[in-house]
Amino acid sequence: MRPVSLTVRSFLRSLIACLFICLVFSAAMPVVAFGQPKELLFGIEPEHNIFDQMERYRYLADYLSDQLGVKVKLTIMSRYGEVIKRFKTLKLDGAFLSSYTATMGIKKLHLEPVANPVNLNGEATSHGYIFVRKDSGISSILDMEGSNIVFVDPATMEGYLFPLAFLKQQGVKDINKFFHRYYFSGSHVSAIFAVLDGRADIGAAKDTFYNNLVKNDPSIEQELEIIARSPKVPEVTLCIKSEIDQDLRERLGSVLLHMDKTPDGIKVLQRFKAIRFVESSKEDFGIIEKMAQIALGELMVNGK
Amino acid sequence: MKKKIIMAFFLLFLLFFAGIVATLHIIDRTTANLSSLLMLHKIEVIRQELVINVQTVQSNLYTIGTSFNKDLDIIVDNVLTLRDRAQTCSDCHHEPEMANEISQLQELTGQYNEALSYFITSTADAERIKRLQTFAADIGDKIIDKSQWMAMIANDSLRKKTTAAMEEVADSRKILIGTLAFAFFVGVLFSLYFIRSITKPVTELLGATRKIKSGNLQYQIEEKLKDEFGELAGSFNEMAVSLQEQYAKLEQTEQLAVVGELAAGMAHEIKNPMAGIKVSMQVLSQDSPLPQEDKEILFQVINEIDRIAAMLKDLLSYARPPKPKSISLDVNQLLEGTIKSARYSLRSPKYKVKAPDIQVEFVKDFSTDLPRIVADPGQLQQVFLNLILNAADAIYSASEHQGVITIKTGQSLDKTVKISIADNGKGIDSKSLEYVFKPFFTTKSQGTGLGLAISKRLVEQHNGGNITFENNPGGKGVIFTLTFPIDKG
Amino acid sequence: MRILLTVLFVLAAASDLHAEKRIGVIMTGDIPFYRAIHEAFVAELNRRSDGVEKIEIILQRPFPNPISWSNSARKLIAFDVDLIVTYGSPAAQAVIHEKSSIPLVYAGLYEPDHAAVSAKHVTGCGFKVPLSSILRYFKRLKTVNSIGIVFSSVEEDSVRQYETMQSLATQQNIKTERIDIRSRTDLDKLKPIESEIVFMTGSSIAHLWLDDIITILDEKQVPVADIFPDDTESGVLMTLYQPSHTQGEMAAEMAWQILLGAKPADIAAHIFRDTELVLNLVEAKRLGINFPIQLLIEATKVIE
Repeated sequence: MRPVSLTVRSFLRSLIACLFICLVFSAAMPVVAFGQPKELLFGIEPEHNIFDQMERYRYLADYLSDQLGVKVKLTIMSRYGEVIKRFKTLKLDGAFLSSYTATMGIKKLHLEPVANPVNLNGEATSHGYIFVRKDSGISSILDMEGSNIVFVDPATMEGYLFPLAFLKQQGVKDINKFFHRYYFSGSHVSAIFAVLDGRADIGAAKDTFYNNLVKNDPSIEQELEIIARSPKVPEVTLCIKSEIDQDLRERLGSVLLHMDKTPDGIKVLQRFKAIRFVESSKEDFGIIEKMAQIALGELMVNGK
Repeated sequence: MKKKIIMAFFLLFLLFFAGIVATLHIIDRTTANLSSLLMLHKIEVIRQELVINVQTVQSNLYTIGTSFNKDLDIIVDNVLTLRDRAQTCSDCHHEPEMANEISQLQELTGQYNEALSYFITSTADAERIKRLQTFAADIGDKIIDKSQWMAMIANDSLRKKTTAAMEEVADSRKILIGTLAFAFFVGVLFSLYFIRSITKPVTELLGATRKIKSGNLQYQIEEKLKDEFGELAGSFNEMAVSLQEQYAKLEQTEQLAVVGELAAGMAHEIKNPMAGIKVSMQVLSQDSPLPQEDKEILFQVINEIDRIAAMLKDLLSYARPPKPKSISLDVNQLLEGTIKSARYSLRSPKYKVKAPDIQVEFVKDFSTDLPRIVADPGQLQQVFLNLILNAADAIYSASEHQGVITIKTGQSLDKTVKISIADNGKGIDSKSLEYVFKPFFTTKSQGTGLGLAISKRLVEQHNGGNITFENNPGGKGVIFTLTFPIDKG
Repeated sequence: MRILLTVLFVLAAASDLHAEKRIGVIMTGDIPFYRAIHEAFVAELNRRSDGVEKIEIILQRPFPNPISWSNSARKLIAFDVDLIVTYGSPAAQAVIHEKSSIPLVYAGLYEPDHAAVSAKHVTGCGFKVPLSSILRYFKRLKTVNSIGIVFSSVEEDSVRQYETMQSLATQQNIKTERIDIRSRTDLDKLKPIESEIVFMTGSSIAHLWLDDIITILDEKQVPVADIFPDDTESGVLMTLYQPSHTQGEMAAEMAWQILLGAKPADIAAHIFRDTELVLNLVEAKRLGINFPIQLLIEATKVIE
């Protein structure tokens, strides 16, 4: 009996020691894991060429990985507006969002806006245009009735939310009844061409695309007339989850905002096609929220 | 021969150098061929990757929107890889035709990316989305077609290049072996030639050396040898002649030494009894009551004893000449003294008896700025006096009424002082020419035949001194010429 | 003078209606564009009458020249039809020129507000195609330094299109080449053409020989754009046209109203501005032209 009891006792001693060690480690580990995640996954909303876009953003992601000591990975989403769904399914830590989706993210997912890039024209903001052909004879809301209107995509501020809010403010209650036909072009450029060709009488699009087309073909400006402009809103904003550690969030913001002050940062900015990043706040998106309330609060949007 | 050897080595060097150059060139070409083959294989891999990439993207394209839909990130990755692959092609291709094809391929890839991008991001108009899908798929198919066509060309090129490379390697081996064999053959030829051209003259020279060794100093290499061997044979022949002369001289020296020893011994042995005989004869001639006629005989005996004593003295000084006590001296001054002594001697009864009617005149033609020489003044005076008295003898024996002895000094171009003593006497007949300086040779009835031999020895005892003679080319008489180096001190 | 063809359409007779109605129709030229309007017109009229009223349609398809148009107009006036319908500007103007009081409904008329067709007994619908878009699309295909314009000086609408295009080209520093087609022999004018591109105005006479024109231009590798649809697929590279059946339908509606007693002056004229862009990839391949994808996605139809 003696030898048996000895073995049992030594086994118990070892077990207690093991448990103790495990306890100490398990107490320490969550702190480490929470403070510094192994990687950050950021989503990107697709622009007209997602491959070039991905290459541009990869330079930025690599730079952020270096500076933060945390691997920054990117994932691209094929549809505007898919970001909200993706945040949940893919467990995104953040995303570069256009103004409308950013507003939705801030509202529904409590995302924190960090910074937004200033494009090569020196603009960090964009706005929407509503335009018609000069020879269309449309100058007021009264002339629009029974005509065709082209939107870009239901998830764009410039291409849908703004024109909808505008129409609502002008007293249009049901676009299905008011217009002969409305449709989504899928891209800002297509919406502009649709109006130019007469495929739609009224169109809405983002100013950057509009101005770029005009720059390449000045005759467009002679043919189109902008009848309404939206307020300026941040064009693209990096928004991150509020659960991300305060320290990392601050460091991320600081790295982006100081990029234009380091030679490496400037190189990356050149490849990213931006001049610098500027700070972004939730207040920047208040106007869109208001717009959404006007547009979607009462207006009926039937199908797409 | 040296030139030939240098030429041969140079030629061999050139051959080997050509061989090395050819080898290096061949290695270079073979390597280039191999790297070109490797490159083609690499291209084949790149192309396969390109096709695989396009096929992957194509399958992605057809499954978008279906349950086989891949993650968009994977599709983007695939497309970006595809773009990289297409870019890699232009890094190695340079032929304009292929470069054009590749730029078309890259253009297609660009269009493909654009179409895919539009297709993936399009949200409105189902018909248009379908069209974009078809359009992108068509471009994808075109890329596959084109890259497969290019693969065909590449394979063809690969096959041709492989064959060409193998042929070239074979050719290279032939060239290499040919060069080495030729160089070896030429080397052997050169070796044979040189062995032949060295051994033959060496054998000849060896034979000649053996002849000389065996005492045949008259042996001359008659065969005409070439190049340096010819020169060597010439030198050898000269050496043999010189050896012969040296041998003769040595013989003479040995002869002289023997004569000297003999003469010294004999002189010593003879001198004392001769002195005794002479004294006895003088006593007899003076004191004895012999009739005058008998006394005359005694006087004759005494004269003959004197002659013997003088001859013994000459013999002694020829065989064992005293060592010169050289000092720096003025030849002109020495000659003046000597001429004075000679005049005195010529007035003595001994010469007056010979030719009472003949007058001897001395003509001095001395250089005024004659440099000094280093010599023994006593010995030199002995030589000059001997030559002058010989000249006078020659004049007397020619029975000329008016004899002229011309003594001339001057400086030669070879930095020597030259003294010539010429007479207008009977000269030397051709038979006697070679015996003039030989001892015991004389043309005079009363001469010992040692005067000129002693003179020659005394002159040659002086470093660089020399004596020669010749019959006066302008007419009668002989000219003796002596040369001594200038005093450099 | 060519012998005119007359087609009689006898619609289902109505028992309770009084007299049979007769409508005279003049096509400016027997070309697909006008035939499509006519088909839509007949179909729509048939739908409207719904077998209640018997309507006789006398169709005139004169060879496109002033005397023929005039003769057709006179003939219909002589027939004393209840209503005259014309397709294309020259036919409408020929009728107006006769100063008859018979109501006139025009259709297929380019920019009717710029044509001299306003009179008390006249109404109708026309269309407008932005010619600037044609030039813009051409410029996205290739560098354009010169444009040949095929038109007919006897067709008023064709002349206006020529003038508009010429003015647009001049504004953009593009040289123009005038190709006036009045008879078949005028096709020879195309042979020494030096222009890089050719624009076909909506000339009936030119469209009669569209195949021949394309054959000549194909040989010279010159791409063609048209504002009439290339229904016969002759090989027009790019067509930007108004889908003409809507004009036929509207003309039928107007005719129906007039037959029911409405006065033309009370029926407002209408201009259709919607367009369709058709790109012919088969022709593009033949000409060695690559359509940029951006242009392809703007197309409403692509011929492959």
